[in-house]
Amino acid sequence: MQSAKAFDVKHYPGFLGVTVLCLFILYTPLIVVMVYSFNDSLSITRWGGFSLRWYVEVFNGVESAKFKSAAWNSLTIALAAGITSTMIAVAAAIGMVRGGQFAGKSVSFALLSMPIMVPEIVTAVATLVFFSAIGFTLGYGSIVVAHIVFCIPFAYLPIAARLQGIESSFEEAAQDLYASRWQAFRHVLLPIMAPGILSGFLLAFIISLDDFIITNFIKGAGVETLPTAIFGAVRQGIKPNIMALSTLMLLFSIAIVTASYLIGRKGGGSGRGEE
Amino acid sequence: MNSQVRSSASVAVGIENVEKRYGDFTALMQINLQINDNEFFTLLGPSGCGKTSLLRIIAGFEPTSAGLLFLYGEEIENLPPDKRPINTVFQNYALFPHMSVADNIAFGLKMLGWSSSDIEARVEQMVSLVRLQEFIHRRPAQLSGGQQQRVALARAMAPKPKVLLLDEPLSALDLKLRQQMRAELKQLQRDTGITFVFVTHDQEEALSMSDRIAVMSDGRIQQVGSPMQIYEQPANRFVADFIGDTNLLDAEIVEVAGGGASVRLGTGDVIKSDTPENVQIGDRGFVSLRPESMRLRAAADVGTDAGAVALQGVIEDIVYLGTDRQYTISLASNLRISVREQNVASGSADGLHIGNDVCLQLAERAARFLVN
Ligand SMILES: Nc1ncnc2c1ncn2[C@@H]1O[C@H](COP(=O)(O)OP(=O)(O)OP(=O)(O)O)[C@@H](O)[C@H]1O
Ligand SMILES: [Mg+2]
Repeated sequence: MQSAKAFDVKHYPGFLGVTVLCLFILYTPLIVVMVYSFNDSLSITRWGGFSLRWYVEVFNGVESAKFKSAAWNSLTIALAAGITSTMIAVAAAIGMVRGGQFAGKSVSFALLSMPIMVPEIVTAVATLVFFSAIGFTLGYGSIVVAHIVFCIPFAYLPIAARLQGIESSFEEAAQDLYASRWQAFRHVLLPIMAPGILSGFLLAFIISLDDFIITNFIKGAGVETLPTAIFGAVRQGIKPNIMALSTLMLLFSIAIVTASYLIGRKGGGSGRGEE
Repeated sequence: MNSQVRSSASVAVGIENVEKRYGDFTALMQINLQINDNEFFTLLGPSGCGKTSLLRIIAGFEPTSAGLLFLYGEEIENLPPDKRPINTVFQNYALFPHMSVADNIAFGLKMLGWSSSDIEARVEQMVSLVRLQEFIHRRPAQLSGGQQQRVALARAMAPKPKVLLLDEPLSALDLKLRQQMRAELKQLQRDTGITFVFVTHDQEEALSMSDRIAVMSDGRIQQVGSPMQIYEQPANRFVADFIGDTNLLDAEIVEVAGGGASVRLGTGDVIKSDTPENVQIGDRGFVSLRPESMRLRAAADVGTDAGAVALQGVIEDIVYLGTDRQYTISLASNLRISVREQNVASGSADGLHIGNDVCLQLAERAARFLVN
């Protein structure tokens, strides 16, 4: 404890200044967007009083049909990609964490987590090239497939972390009590892993929901998700209804990420699940 | 002979020449054991000697590297854990955290396909056996260590296993509870008639509960016998030293006569000693003398009774231990020995003060000669 105090980062000169600067740069734009989404004027820089008219416009305005279909696409793609990548991630986590030592284990881990480190634009270009090469029609289906793939590592990490914290004696106890391997998984391991799985799913879901770069490359003509629709609308000039829409998306994302974090942290109750 | 012993209904678990290697490391070698039906059998040994490895082999969690494994005469080496009628009480209990006490106990019965009315009746029976009636709806995390231990026990016994394996089940409990659970476990074993294979590194626990004990060290079985045999006739130096306190003195056999022998100690004294079979005059080894198997008398009191005196020395130190006093006696040739005297009544320690000359009288069969 004592030595920890000696190295306390707060004692470095300039710590406070840098912190405040970072927070300012990070959050001021977001706060501005949120505040001006309630602005009762067409201007995006001058305050004209409080109003909810842009929120009404998002749901009822001329562009609302476009936004609604984009939102529907985003949600269904995120659900499909989130569920599928989570199932794959569960299988991968069990293989990696419970599979003992096998040849190529570290290579497998690198391959699994690489997509997080590869620049997204590279993945986007590569995916586009690959889909064109194999003649995969660009559209809703290609977006789902691409999202499943890049969501796997995000789903994998919380699930594997949770599984590492679960002692293998639970499965052994189940098998000792006459459960087959499948029953031990279904009735014991899966419920204990559930918080990690839910947390991984929510993370994958939100990553898919928020993705712009890859989606924009491979969406093909006529299919829009919410991020690409917003981008398209902004190109014709920023209107306050975009701010309202962005604020809604931001709040939704925060809610999902918070839920994912809380579930991953204190859910379950194996007592040793923290990792 | 072997094949008859294997198939005999009185041998619950037969282990023949079992070995276990983890990579280059040999954790178990040449294990031969016959654990009898309806027996409270204990594997006792220091940490790392391979007790858990052996238990996991019996349960089916680890394959053997060599050797044969029998359950009531049937070879079980190739059966997975869920096909062996053996249940385990894990060291950390491994209670399912997402299930209530009742569901934990019912788990094995469900997997065996019992009808729900049978399950309900059995759970009720087990819960009252371990006195947890008020807690059946709680989760394991809401129970104390002792209560969790009892749930683990009830869960493992509910499916009526032929053999119950217990891996240091009492080690997480405090001393009082541990002593109480010893008696309860023993009683449970008697009442149910299930064969218990109990693992511990605590010799007191082993001595007080077991019908028979296998003492292990370094992956080998050192001795198998009743608590009394293990304590009074240790097979070798390790067993004598590990079980209880003892004095180990260098000794050489000078006379062999009808089951016993006379040995000469480093002090020059010759005393009577028990020996293993087939010792010869001139054999060298150790003599084990338990501290409580000797009587101390002030040299002045002994007088004419000198015939019964075996050793003489000077009191060097006295430690008061409540029921006992422990004396450290320095003998001739710079040897030391410790002796325990019960504090029977006030005055029993008369004349036994530091610096006094004393005589040591050995009880019948107090000394045990060991070759190694
Ligand atoms: N999976 C494994 N891989 C490699 N070595 C192992 C493995 N399991 C056990 N060992 C080694 O085998 C030896 C015996 O281990 P084991 O767990 O059986 O000891 P133990 O008698 O139960 O000890 P304790 O009283 O500490 O529980 C130890 O030296 C241990 O390091
Ligand atoms: Mg152990």
